Amino acid sequence: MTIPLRVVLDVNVFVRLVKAKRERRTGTAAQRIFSALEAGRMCGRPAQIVASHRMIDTLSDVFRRLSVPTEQAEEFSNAVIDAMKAGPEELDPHLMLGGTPDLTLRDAEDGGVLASAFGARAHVLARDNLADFMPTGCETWETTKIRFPDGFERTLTCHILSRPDGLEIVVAHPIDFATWIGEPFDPTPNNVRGRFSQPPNVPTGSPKKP
Amino acid sequence: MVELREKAFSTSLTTDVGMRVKMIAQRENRSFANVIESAVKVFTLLPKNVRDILVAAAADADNGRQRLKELSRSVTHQDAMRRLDEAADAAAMHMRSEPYPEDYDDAVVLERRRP
Repeated sequence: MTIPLRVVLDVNVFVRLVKAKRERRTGTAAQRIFSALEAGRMCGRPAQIVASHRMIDTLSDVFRRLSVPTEQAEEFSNAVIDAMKAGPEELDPHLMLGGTPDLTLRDAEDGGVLASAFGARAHVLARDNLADFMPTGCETWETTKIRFPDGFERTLTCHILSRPDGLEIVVAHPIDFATWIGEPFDPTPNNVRGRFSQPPNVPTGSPKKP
Repeated sequence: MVELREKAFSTSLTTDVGMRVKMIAQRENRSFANVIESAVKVFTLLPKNVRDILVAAAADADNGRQRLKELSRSVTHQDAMRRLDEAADAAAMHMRSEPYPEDYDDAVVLERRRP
């Protein structure tokens, strides 16, 4: 049996899903990630989302800060827990370790997310703010260049974070993760190294004439 | 509204099935008859092709239990995702839009590194 892909989705990804619905968008990165989750497969493997109770609480708090009434915020959070419990590994957030923040990150909340992800033996963590997930010694790969409407350009990165016991996790931007889901590309640490350690596939010189 | 009830029917169960009914009744604090009534009620509401799949799985002594477990999980997952989608719709009606200076949903991809 194929090993399910354990995925931690940052709170921001859930918020982006709701924001996309509010703005009647289609095909956003968050929507493509949730479509795959609905189908039960991501990157060619059965998909299992992972979250700790602390992360679920943060999600409810963020929704309330954005004026979502408590009842709707908790309904959303409960639905996330149920989706997690109904995944191929039937995980329960009660069993997720998330109490002690990982000290390799400066921000305690980010440290809690990372600790939960490692505790759950997650394979991928999808989040927008990657700069805060670059502890000393982590492997970093440039993945995608994007341009905002104001002309500002940003190069997205993906990171491989390792624990002293050898456990590794891939931290990727939702745009990259949604792309990998669609290809599909299985983002194991070794596959990521293999893919991004190659020179960029940019044509050099003038193209051949037919 | 009071539901009209048919006259009582009777059937016999194998020892195994009877034990399972008894266990569910005890665990869920229901009567033996109530568990059977629920089972029949749900079964008769399902389309024939679904009933056939369930009956075939239940008859498979080797893999049937695992198959039914997988089918149950799949149904539970679909239901959870439906509720997540509905909850997202409900939250979207209330959520305050905050301007994101760098909203990646508005960005265009210029270049992707591929193998």
